[in-house]
Amino acid sequence: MNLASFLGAVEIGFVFGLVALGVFLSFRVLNFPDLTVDGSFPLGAAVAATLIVGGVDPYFATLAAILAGALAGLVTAFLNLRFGILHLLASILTMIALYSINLRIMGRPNVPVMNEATILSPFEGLGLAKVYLRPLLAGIVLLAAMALLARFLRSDYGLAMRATGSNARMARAQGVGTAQATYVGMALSNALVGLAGAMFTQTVGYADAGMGTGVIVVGLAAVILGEALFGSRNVVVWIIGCAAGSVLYRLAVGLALNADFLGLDSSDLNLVTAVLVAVALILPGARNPFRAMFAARR
Amino acid sequence: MRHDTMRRLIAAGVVGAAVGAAAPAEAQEAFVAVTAIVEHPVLDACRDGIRDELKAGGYEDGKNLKFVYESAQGQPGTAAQIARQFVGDNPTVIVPISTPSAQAVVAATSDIPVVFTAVTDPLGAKLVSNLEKPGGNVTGMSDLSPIAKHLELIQEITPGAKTIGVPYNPGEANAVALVDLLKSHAGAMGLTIVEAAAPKSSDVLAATQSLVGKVDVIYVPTDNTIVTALEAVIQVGIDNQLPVYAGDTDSVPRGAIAALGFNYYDVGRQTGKIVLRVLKGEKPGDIAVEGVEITELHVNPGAAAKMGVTIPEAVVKRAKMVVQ
Amino acid sequence: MIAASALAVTFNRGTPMETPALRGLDLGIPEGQFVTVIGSNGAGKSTLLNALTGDAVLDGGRVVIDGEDVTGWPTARRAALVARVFQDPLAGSCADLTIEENLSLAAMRGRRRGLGLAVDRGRRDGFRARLAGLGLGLEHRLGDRMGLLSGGQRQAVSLLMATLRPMKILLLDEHTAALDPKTGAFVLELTRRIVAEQRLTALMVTHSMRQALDCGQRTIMLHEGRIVFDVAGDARRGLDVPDLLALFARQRGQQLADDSLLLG
Repeated sequence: MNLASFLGAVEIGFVFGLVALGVFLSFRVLNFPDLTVDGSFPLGAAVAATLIVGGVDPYFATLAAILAGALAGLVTAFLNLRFGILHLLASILTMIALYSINLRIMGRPNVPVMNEATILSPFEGLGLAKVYLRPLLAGIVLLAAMALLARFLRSDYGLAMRATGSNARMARAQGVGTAQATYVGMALSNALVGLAGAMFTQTVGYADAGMGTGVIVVGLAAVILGEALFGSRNVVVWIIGCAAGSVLYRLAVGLALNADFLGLDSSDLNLVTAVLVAVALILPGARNPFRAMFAARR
Repeated sequence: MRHDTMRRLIAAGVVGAAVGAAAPAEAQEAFVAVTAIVEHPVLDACRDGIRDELKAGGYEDGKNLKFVYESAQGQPGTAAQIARQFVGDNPTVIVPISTPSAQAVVAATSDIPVVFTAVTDPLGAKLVSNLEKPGGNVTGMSDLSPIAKHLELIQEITPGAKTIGVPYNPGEANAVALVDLLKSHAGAMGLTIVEAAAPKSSDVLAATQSLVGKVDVIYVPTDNTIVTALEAVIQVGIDNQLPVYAGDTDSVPRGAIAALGFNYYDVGRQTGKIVLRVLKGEKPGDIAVEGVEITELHVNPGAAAKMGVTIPEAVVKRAKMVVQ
Repeated sequence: MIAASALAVTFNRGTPMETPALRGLDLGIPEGQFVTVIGSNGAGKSTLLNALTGDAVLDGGRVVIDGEDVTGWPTARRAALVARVFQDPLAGSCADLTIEENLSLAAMRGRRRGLGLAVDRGRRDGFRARLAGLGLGLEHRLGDRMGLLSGGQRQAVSLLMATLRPMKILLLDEHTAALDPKTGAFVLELTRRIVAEQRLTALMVTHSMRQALDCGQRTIMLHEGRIVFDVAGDARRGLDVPDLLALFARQRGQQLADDSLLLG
């Protein structure tokens, strides 16, 4: 793998690191299995692309994408809390609805964003080649998101949110408004994914209705890879693990793309990803062979 | 702490292997990097056509040509990574097959020559700004069906038909472009188009059934989602004596009455010709974006009979292939 | 101080399995009183607690705490007024969070949670001091996950959590029942000490008549959703378990057949 490929993998890894953070927030912190991300990722892309092509400042467009993602999360939470629909099903409903909504937003299945102003534009021409600029910008955004999320989860409100996912009954007994915490958490989670979608569309040059395929699996793989390698002993380490997991996953993809000698095709990656995620999901904690092999002494 | 260290080593190992792996990008005779968004018989046939045309042109994989193919497995993130990977490898030409792959590649490079193919609407996808003389580093082939000719064929075989039903996937850029084209040509020819949306293959049956009673014939565009479920459409056609036409010739043996199409292997070979021109030194910006040249007429009189239609003798005589 | 009047709760209303859990129960608890509650299974003890915390929806009656009618208030809203220790050691704390994180949650019970750091040095020092008072060595394990603690340790911490912030009433829901006798005795002793030290108003549900008589100043017995007797002060001082049995028989005209009550 040469430098450009490595940086390319790292850049995509950073963008999907935001997805990993979102998935971490819903799956791990709130204990809310959330498939909305397969819809909120392309939603972020659709909103950002459509606005940018329409002449809106890319920073505003990205902000709009973040808010759109948050809205999607709120809808899923609403379906679950207000109507008692199982979280997984509620999220699937939102995801399915978003497919049509995204088409509506874009007006067509595919919106090209090439040659438009993007959030990268103000920094181009400053001397740093695009191949370095893109991962750098993505990395800065990811780092900022990680820092804010970590600080949030260590606050009183953030702790209340973690309690909601860990033991909702106890949380209520401590005066935590668990419904509100769920809304906020789901909104935040999908806002992160919407941001990822907006950044992705600006870096890859288009928004497509089918862009959401498999996003949840990639996000989960990153989170689980991070947990297996870094552990989850505290929030900060856990979050770093998510981001690192996303980058490592992309490097592994890059490895498969390059290593003819391994006999691996990029086509094998979906299977490998699915197996990895399945194993790590089926066997929790101590019984997990990954943990048994890699678990740190806490 | 031993376990901690072991985990860190594994992580470092992955990074190291990723960085160190694979042959460095060095100058071979020619290096053609091909990618598609997903594995699919149509796209695979295209790729094979490209490879065979290159061989016929004197470039053989393994001898004086390095031919690399990667599929993005339907994942947008992987498609983007492949695009960056290829750019980093600095090939002579990159050949993306399908619109999302093409967009990802074009966004990733403005120097390396790009020859796209199997893209229905290159202008709409903003791959090029001008079809005759693209300028820049990008050119390629559009697989746009000769829509006007298809409509003429329908009028020739079933002259009474006034309304045409079109099942399609609204989430597919190519399909939407085709439907728009159908509508723009239909008006001039006195025809009306009625569309039925089918976002997934499993929706095709219901979508086709919704057309019954509203249309005189059904036209199946070159849309993967619909073509995958062609048998469902054919069945509706037979049950309701509704003639079914197709945009691609592979559908005719499966039960469509007629198609004026092309097969993607030929598309691949035509693309290969363009790639050869670039390998020989022509600038992509000077090469016009091509449409499909070779079309063949395939007919299926037996299927026609099942749907209550007799194909005129003149048409059968003209056909390249008559399915018995 | 705590005034519950005409509490009525019916489960599965309108179905063949309709069960009245509380039938017009009246209970008033003055400030500073430690009340023990006994009764056989299905007597309505847990339902009474749930009615006070807001976990059970009342079909009739009112709950008034310090003059405030909290009848319609959900659990989270009542949390500032009502603290509870559950029977199940796992239910009262978050296993995935650390001891100091759980204590932080409890320290903010009833208060508005903002974005300030949940565990800072000031809080940590305070927690350390309070945990030291338990005598279990937990003050050195603030960073450990709650899930690593034994049942007795968790109940001790839960008790501490419940008393970190002021409350109008402390509800103890058979909180030693799931522990082995020695640990249970330890937690019970801890309970008496804390309630006495802080002069708390407390309501303790227990399965044991012995415990009921040994703790607090007043004992009530529930049966089929009603209070069947209520003794306090001098009247209670001289009582022993057989006396309670006789009291019950006189009230209900029937023998009490619940082994766990008799033998506990």
